[in-house]
Amino acid sequence: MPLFYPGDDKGWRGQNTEDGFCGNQLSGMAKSNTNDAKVLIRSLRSAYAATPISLKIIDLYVVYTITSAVIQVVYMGIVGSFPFNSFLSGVLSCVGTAVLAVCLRIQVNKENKEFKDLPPERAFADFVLCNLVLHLVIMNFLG
Amino acid sequence: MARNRGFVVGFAALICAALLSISAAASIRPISDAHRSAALELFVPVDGSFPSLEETYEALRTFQILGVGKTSDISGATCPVVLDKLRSSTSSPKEFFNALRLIGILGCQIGSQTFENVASHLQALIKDADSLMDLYYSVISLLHIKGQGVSAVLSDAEGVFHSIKALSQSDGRWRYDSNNAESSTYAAGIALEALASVVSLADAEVDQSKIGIVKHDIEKLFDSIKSYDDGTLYFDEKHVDGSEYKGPLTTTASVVRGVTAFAAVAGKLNIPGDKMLGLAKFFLSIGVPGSTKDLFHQIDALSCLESNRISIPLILSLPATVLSLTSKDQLKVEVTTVFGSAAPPLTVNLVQASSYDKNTPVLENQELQFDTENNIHYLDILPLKIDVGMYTLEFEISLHDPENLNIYATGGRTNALAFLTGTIKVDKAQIGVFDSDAESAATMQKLDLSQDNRISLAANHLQRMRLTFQLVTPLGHNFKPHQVFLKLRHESKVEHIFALESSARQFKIILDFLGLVEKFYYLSGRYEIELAIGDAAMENSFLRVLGYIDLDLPEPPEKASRPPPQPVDPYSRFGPKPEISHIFRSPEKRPPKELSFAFLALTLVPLVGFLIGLLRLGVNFKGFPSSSVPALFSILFHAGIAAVLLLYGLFWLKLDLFTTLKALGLLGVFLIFVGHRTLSHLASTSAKLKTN
Repeated sequence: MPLFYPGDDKGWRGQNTEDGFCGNQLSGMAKSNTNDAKVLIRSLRSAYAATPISLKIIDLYVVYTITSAVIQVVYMGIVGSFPFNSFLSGVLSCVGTAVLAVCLRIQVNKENKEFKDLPPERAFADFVLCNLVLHLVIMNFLG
Repeated sequence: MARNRGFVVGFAALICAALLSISAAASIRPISDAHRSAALELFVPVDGSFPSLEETYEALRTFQILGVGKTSDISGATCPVVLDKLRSSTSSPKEFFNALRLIGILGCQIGSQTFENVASHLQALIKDADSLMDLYYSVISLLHIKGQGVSAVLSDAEGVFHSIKALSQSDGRWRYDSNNAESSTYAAGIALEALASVVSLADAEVDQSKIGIVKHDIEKLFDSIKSYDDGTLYFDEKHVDGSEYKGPLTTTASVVRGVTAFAAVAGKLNIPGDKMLGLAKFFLSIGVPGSTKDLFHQIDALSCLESNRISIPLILSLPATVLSLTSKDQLKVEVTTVFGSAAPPLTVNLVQASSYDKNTPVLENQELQFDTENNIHYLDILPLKIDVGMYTLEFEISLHDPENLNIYATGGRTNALAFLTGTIKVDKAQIGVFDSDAESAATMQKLDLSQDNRISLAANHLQRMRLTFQLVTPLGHNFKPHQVFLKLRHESKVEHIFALESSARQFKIILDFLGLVEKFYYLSGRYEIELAIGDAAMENSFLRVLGYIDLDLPEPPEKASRPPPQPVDPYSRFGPKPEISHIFRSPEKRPPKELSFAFLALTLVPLVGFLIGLLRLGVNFKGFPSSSVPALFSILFHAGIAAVLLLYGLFWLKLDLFTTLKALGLLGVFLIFVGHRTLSHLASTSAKLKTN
């Protein structure tokens, strides 16, 4: 997942060290920080826009499942963990499928030379199979 | 006290058991009111009638013989049915038979024309009949018509007689029909009754030689009579097979009916009176049967025996088999017919009375007095000096009029069991404590068991306790009861039971406490002394507390066994048990519903976000195969995944793991197939795109 390019990485660290030297210029530091952040985000977005749409779908899916998991954890934090296996099933279902989606993303990514010979269809078949097995276990555990 | 009660109840049960065993041995009593009330209880009409004509006859015949019940209640509903059967031309001989034999009892008003029609119909049936039962039903029916005062004459009596006789076997049994090789005792009774009817229906005298042959058959039949140990005789089938088998009571009743009916028309039969008496005893020994059929057969057969021409059985019975010497009971004997009516003048002799255990005669040749008012023979037993105990009595009946010897069967000598009870005196009872080495120097305390005074003793483990007494019968003999027990009971309810040994003259027990300390679990303290003496012949059996003994036993060594936990009181064991209160796990605290629903909605928000995100990314279905076959496989693939997910949903809701796995296996194979086709198609299209 090429979110950070080497150039971005260096620039970000450079900004940080500069901040350290200008510790007494508070307003100037804040201003330069927001500017830097804007620059950073813009560069990230432009870099991400180049990502193929299929990978974007997978990213969206990962975000979606992790958000679901976070909501369930919040719910548990509020009301307690009484049907604990149900809670575990719900969270693990989300996290598990997110992990599988990440794996799918690694295999589908064309930049990734390691899986060059693997067709994306095969990777998708693995994804479906693993999901079905995962959810069989989840359903059994759900209670 | 509860334990005492248990002990006494046990005693009573034992005595009752002993008495029951005696009464069972002498249970033959004539028909009594018990049978009358049983008949009224067993034969209960429903809405004024019985289910079938056969059952109606059995009920009414039983009532008629016993002299109970009213036929008028039944006749209203039953007479129309009887008339229907008689007028119907399709009635079978059995239906005619059941209808006609009821008329005599019910007294239905039926015109003589109907009878004549039925009679001619039956004549025709008899000509064609070849089975024993058809002949029997038809012939008996004709006899009933004759009994109604309508002339019914069997035209071919010799021929019918011959066709019934043709079914007889050499051993006196009969076959049901000529095709059936199996002979039956029950059929023999049926055949004899039919033959008797043929003889009385015949217009001319039946050949005496033929009757002689049948008489010989009857003698053969009586050779196959069976007997029980108590001297009762009965008939039963030789071969017990399923369908035809009727049981000894029905079979014997059939034979008795047949033989007595035949004797009534054919004159004296050469059957010993003892056999008739044995048959009567068989029916009486049944007591009161529990089923209507059995009761009918018993009563009907006994009524045949009550006035038969062979020999009328006289039953000797004892109204009471337990006689108390204290209340000066007399030995009473009744001699009656089976229905309890008076016997002709006769004398009863007590030939011998012998002790049941030792079998030694104690009494011989005593003639019983006759009480004409109560029709009872009696004997005062007090002056005869018979001691308490169980006795076998042997009676002999001698008829005064020698002519009666041919009419009545007295059965020679009759045995009966009787029980004499009396008060047993406890004499010379002494109890004392003494040192181990000085038995002769013991100081004994006198005990008076007739009064309720308690003694108190004290002893240590080096001493002994002695109890002696004598048991004397009213005649001054030594008495040895069934049970003599001494019981010591500690305050903590631990108890010890000792059986007393009887020497020649007295009962004696010496408790050596030194040898008993182990058995007493080293429990010092106060022990209650109880004495139990019981016997079925002892009217004053008792269980009494004699007093107390304070025992001073040594301290228990370390390894001494602990006293066993006392068993629960038997009365409380069957009492109500303490209620079991179940503790259920309290339900977990649940969040408010609104919160849960809010979060349910919240979990859907990311899904919505996902869908919106997909739209914004501009997702499309352009990659979906356009040609029909791959599109179909593609749809099937997605449907398959949906089906698996649905199956998971069902698994969560109601299915079990095995069902789910089976279904999943099938779906999985399908999914692999269509998935492979779809994805390989996609792969090939993308490969083409690349090469292009």
